[in-house]
Amino acid sequence: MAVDKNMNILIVDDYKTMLRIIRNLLKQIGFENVEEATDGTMALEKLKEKNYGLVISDWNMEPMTGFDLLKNVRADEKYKAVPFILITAESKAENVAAAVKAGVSNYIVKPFNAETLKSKITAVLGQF
Amino acid sequence: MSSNDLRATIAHELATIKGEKGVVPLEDVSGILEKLVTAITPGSSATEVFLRDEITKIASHIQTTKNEILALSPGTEAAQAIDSAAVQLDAVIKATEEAAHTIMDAADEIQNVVGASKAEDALKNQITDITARIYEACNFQDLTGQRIRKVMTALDVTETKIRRLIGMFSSDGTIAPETISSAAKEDDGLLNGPQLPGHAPSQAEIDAMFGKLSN
Repeated sequence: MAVDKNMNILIVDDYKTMLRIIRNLLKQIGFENVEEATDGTMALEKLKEKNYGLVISDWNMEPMTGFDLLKNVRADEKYKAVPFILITAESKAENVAAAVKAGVSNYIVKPFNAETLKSKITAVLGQF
Repeated sequence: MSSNDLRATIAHELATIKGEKGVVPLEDVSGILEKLVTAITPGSSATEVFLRDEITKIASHIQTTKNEILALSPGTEAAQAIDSAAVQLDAVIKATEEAAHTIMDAADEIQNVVGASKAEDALKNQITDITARIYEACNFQDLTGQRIRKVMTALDVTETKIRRLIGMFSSDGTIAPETISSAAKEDDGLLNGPQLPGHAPSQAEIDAMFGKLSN
C-alpha cells in the first residue's frame, strides 16, 4: 500500500534546532503535515487532538522523556499501532534493548542524515 | 602519656562535644588533636614524639583544608568563578542555537530562490541535496548543547558538594542536606547523553543491534 504523504507526523524534541532539521528533511522527502511538541507530555496532548500516522521523538527531554512517551503510546488502545521512531544521542546497547522492548518501530542515532531518516521511514511505513 | 591515657582523653573530648552539640563537627576534631599534642610532653619516648608529629600534621591538614573550602563560600572569587562558568556555558548554548538558525535561514533562502527560478530540474535537485546537507550539519547544535548541559550538571553537583563541605566547617557544624534536582525517572539509568567520538556506535551498528533484538 502506498504511503499517504498527507498523513500527520508528530515530531518531538526539546531543541528547536532539531525540530527544524527534522521538519525540513521531512518536507524534502514530501511530508508537509508536520506538528511539533517539545516533550512527551505535550506530545500526548497533541495525540489526543488529531490522528497521526507517525511519531518521531527524541529520548532525553523534561518532564516526560521520549521513552516514557513511547510506553504511554503503546499502552493506549487508541494510539498503540502508531509507528514510533526514536531519534536520539542515547546509543548504548541497553538503550536500544529497552526501546525495542517498549515497542519502538525504529531507532536513529544522532547525528543523522536525510538518507537515514528516509530509509527508516520507509522501513516503518513502506515505500513512498 | 600512655596509650590508655590517650584513648581516655580522646573519648572524654568526643563525649563532651557530643553532649554539647549532639554531633562532633569536623571543625572540633582539629581542636581535639591540638589538645592531644600539648598533652604529649616533650622528652617522651620516640613513639610518642612520632605520634605527636603525626597528629600535628593531621591537625595542620584539617586547618588547610578548612581554609581552602571556606575560600569557596558564596561571594568569594572562587564561588563567583563557578557561577560564572555556568552562565558562560548557557550563553554558548544560546549562541550556537542562534548560529544554527541563521545557517538554516540562509539554506531556506537558497531553497526558495532556486524553487522560484527557471533552473533545470537537475540543478534544482542538486541544490536541494546541498541544502539538505547544510541542515544535517546543524545537528551539531543539539549534540554540543547536550554535552554542555552534562558539564553544567557536573558543575552543579560539585557546587552542592562544596556547600556541604562548607557546612561541615561552619561555626554551627550544620550539614546541608543533599538536594535532589528533580524526581527520579524510570529511565534515569538510560539517560547518558551523547557518547564521545570513538565510543559511540554508528547507525549501522545500531541497525544491527535493532535487527537482532527485534527478531
